[in-house]
Amino acid sequence: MSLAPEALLRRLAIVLGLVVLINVIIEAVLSLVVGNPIQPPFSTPQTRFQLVTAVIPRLVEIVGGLGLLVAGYWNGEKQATERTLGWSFVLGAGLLLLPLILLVTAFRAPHAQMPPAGLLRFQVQFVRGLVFYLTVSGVLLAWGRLLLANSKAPRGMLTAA
Amino acid sequence: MRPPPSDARRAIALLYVTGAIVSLEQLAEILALIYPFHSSVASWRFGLLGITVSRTASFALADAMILGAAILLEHRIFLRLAGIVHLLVAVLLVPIMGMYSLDVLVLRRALKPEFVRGFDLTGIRTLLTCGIAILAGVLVFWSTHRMKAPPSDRLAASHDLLLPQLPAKQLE
Repeated sequence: MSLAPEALLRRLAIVLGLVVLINVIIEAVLSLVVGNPIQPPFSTPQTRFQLVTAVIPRLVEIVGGLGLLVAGYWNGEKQATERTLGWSFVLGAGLLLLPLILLVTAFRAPHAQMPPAGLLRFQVQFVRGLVFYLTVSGVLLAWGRLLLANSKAPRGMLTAA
Repeated sequence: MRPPPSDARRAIALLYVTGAIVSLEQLAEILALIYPFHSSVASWRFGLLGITVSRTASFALADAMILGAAILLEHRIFLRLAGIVHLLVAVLLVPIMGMYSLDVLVLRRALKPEFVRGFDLTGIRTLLTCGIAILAGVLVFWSTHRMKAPPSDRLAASHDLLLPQLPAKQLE
């Protein structure tokens, strides 16, 4: 059975998107279980803050992987999969608010005890975390809404959210 | 899928460059980390595969850009070559995984008991990611070699574009 270019594009996007996401998950689990200094049980606000900010570089890869999945399933034949993916993205956007809350609460206590020399760096890390988590959450929510809206449209028609 | 207009083709072609830059940057970083080369040392080989595997996500994103551009621009020969390269990498990874497993077994004996768990998990992560990369490589090869040939009417249409168009009045 031969593949049309569009079907090939979709298939490769799904395969490579899954590779990216699986790799990110494996690396995250490994760094949680093995990596120092983020050893469980994350008892101090400092370690919690480190944990939440350590995830940020991986968020870029997560967005890339999810983007490939969106490209793979967007306006495809399987409307149910598109809907499931849309709801997963909306749920993911909501779940990303948890590390955001953790970031804000973990920031307050060390911030008060921080010596002036390290304060600026600490504040920059906090703002970086805030911007990244809010952006990724917004991107996931937007994709989720687009996929959900598109899953109701007849095939071959693009709808604006 | 309609062929993209010429200005869009230029923009899509930039995906090739972007994908190549991402791949080269990752390769340069790996080279900088593993230099100087000690291929006879088991711990060096263990580190080499571990470092390479931890960058799978970046390589896969670059791969998606390059393959996506090739499909959209209908560069069929390039796609076939890319598929063969993916298969070669997948085939090469099989003996590399075997050698890596042997290295893990050798290095594990020399470790203190408190470090064994972390070492085992790192080894499992590397083997798992290699397995996924092999699967993805074979799938990419399989898919690229099953791409449908362009319809003959599109070829005819593209030839029509080259012919001078007569004004409507002359046709009447």
